[in-house]
Amino acid sequence: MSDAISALQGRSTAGEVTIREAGLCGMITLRGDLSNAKLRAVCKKITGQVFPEKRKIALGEDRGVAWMSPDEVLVMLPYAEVTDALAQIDAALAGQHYLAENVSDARALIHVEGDFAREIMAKLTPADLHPDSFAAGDFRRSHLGQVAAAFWMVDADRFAVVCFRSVADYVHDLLVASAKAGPVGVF
Amino acid sequence: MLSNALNTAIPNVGTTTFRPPYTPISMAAIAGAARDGVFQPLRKTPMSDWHNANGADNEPVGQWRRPFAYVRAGETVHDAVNREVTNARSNIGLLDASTLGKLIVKGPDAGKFLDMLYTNMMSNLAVGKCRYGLMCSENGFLMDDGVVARISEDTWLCHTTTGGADRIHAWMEDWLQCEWWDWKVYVANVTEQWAQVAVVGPKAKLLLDKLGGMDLTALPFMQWQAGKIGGFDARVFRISFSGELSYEIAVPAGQGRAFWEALIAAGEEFGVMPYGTEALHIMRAEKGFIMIGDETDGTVIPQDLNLHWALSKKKDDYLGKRAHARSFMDNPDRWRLVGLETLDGSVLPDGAYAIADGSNANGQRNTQGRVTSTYHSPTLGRGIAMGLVHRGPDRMGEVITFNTVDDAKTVAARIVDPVFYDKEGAKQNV
Repeated sequence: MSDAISALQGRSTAGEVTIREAGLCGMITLRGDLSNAKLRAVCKKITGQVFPEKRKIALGEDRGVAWMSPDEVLVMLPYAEVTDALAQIDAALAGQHYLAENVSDARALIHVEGDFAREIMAKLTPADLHPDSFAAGDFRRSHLGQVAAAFWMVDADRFAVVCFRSVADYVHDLLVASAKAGPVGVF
Repeated sequence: MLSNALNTAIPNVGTTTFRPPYTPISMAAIAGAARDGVFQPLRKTPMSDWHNANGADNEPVGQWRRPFAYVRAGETVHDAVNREVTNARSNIGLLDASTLGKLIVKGPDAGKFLDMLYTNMMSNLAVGKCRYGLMCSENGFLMDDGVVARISEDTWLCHTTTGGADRIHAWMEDWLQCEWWDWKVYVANVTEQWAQVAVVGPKAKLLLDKLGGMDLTALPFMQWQAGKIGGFDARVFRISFSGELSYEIAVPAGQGRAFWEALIAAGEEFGVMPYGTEALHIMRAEKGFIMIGDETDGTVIPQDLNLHWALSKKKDDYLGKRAHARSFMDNPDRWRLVGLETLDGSVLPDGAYAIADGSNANGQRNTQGRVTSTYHSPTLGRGIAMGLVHRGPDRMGEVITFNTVDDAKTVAARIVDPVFYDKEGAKQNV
C-alpha cells in the first residue's frame, strides 16, 4: 500500500478553541439488524466497547461504535486495522443480510477543543445542543452549515466531527469562523 | 395597486399581516457564517490541489470544481482543450473521475432491486463484468446512467453521474424504505472512498504495464479486476467514455494524489497529459455517447436517444416501463437523436432550434428540433453536434436550418449518424 494521507493531513488552527483534523482514522459503515447478537459481538470484539444505545456513541481511546440509524452503525478503529476488521465482520455475519464497507478514506475527523466548543457547534447545526439535551457520549447525524456531518461530545470542552472528505476544508474553515466569532453566552 | 383595485386612498388600504421576524434583523444574522470562503461548500477531490497548481481552469459541477482544461503558458482555453483531445486520441490522457457517484448495493434481493431501477438487466451480470445501464423515473423519463460492476455474488457497484450520486442514493433509499421495505437490500454511498482516474488512449496499457502489478492482457473490455497497480491498491475497470482504449482505476482516496502523480511521472515518456471536462465532452460527442443533462432535460425517454437496446424485453417490469407504453411516448412523432453536420463546418450554437415552416397559435415560429450538444472536434477539424429532431433517424441526409442569436442569420446542417468517430469501436476494443 502506498502511504495514505488524510483529507487535511492533520491541519490545526489554534485559538481560544482549537480546530484540529485527527489524521487517518479507520471507519466502517456497518448496516444490518442492530439487535442481532453476532453483529453486536463482532463490534465489541473489534472496538472493545459496549454496543451504543440510540443516538449514542460508545468510545474508547481510539476505537468506538456510533449509532447512525436504526439499521446502521459507524465502527471506528485505527486506520491500519480496517482490512482485518472487515474480514472479522464478514466471518461473523456470513450467511446473514448485512453490509460492511470501508469508508475511512471517504471521511475526515475533526476535533473541536476549548472553552466554548458547545457554542461553536450549536451555531452551525440545527441539532439541539442545550446541556439538558446533549451531553458526553451523545451522538447526532445532522448538518454543519450547508453539509452533512455527524458529531459527538467527548466532554464539556471537546466535540468531534465526522464529515465527507471533499468538504473537509469547508468544515474546518466553518468551525474556525464560528470559533473566531466568539462565544454567544446562551448556554 | 391595492389602492387602485379597492378604489380607496393608500392610507385606507390598511397594513399587511406581520410575519416573523417581527422586528428587523440584519442580513448578516441570517447569513451567519456563510460568507467569504465559507459562503458555500466547494467540494475537492484528492487531486484538486494538484489540478489547481497545474493550470486548471475550473468549472462548477454541482458543488465540485472540476478542471475544464489545463491551460499552459501561451495557450487559450480553446487551444488547451484541442491539445488535450488530440493527445488522448494519440498518446495518453488522464481524467480525474473521482466525482462520479459510486453506490454499493448489497443483499439477497439486490439483483431484483437493480432490475427494477435500471431499464436493462443487472441481475444476470457475471461477477467481474461491467454493464452500461439507464435509469428512468416512474414517468419514463431518463434520469441517470452509468456503468454497473458486479463485485460479488450479492454485491453490485453502481456508478452514477457526478450530479446523480446523492440524488440516486436518495432515490434508492426512497424505494427501499417506502415501497419495497421487505426487500433485503442495503445501499452505501462510497463515492468519496475512492479516487478514480481514467487512463485513456492508445498508449494507456503501456503506462499501466510500466507501473506493473496486474496482468491487464487478461482484462477484456467491460470487465474489472482488483489488485495492485504500481504498489497502489486498485480496482481497474476496463470501460471507455472516450472511444479509446481506457482503464478507469479506483484507488483509496488517501492514495489518490500519490497515484495521480505516479501516473504523470511514469507517463512522461508516453506523452501523458491530464485532460478536463471539455475534452471529455468532445470525445464522448465524437463517439455519439449521450450525456445526462445535455441530451436529457427531464422530458427525454431512452427511445428518443435510440437506446432501445438498453430496454429489457425479458423483464416483466422496471421503473418507467409502463410510461413508455403510453400513446405519446410510443409515438413516431417524437423528436429523436441524430448527429448534425453544418454545411460550412462551423460550430452550431448550443440550444439552437431547427426552424420549420409557419408559426404556432401564439405567433411563434414553428420548430422541428434542437441542438443538445455542440463542439469543435479537433479530431475531425470541424463542428459536430447532436440534436433531437422530429422523426430525426428517418431523415438521414436531409438538410435543416437552425436559428442563431443573430435574427438575420441561420445555419444549415445535415442530419447524420451521431457517431462521428470510429463507429466500429475498434479503438476501445483492442
